[in-house]
Amino acid sequence: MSNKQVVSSLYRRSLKLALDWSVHRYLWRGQALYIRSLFEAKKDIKDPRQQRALFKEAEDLLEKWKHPDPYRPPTAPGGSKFERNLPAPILDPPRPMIL
Amino acid sequence: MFRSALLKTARSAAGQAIRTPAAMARPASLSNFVSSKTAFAPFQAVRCYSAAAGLQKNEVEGRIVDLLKNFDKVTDPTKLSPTSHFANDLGLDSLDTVEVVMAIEEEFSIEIPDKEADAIHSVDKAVEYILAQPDAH
Repeated sequence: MSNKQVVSSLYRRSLKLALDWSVHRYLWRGQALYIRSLFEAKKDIKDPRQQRALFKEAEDLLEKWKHPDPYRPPTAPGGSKFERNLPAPILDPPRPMIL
Repeated sequence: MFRSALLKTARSAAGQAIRTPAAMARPASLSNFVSSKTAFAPFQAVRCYSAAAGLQKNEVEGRIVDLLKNFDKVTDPTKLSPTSHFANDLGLDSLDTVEVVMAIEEEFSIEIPDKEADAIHSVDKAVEYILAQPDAH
């Protein structure tokens, strides 16, 4: 994975984690701006060693604040609408077998 | 508007109920009521969450373009089109792209996995992805 992918994955996961913890959307908005500012502050670091340390730090923070009951979209696995109203199984009897 | 629509359905249902013979009132009036209701339903004011997702391509495109129109970091709204690229045309960086993809997820109430979210770089890619999802609303 390239650095860009790693950073966007981290950013995405931290936004989602903040969304899990915040009760209201307007509370999350401020947190999102704060997270964005944190990412922007470390934008210019080019040293791979420092970058790795930052990735590690971010991962640790994500792990530390992991939500016990995260939000699941209704149709995703674990959501309330997951596999609801599935098409009925085929209940017709098999055709008579003529030997 | 909703009230007048309700009154209209009630009136048409009542008219048909009067015309049906009284002997087999139940099934006939029932089916009449249902058929009159379905005949009246080309315009649906409220879309239930349980309704099947019948998303058209232009509808999806319109919703995504509207979403981007309201995004304050888009530098040049005149360049917004169903084929515009987030980074090249709209001047969004990778973190903005993540935000846009999250907003799209929310708009259509689906979850886009990390891997697929990385591949969405333009409006038409997003439209294509949404149309491929059976549970997008």
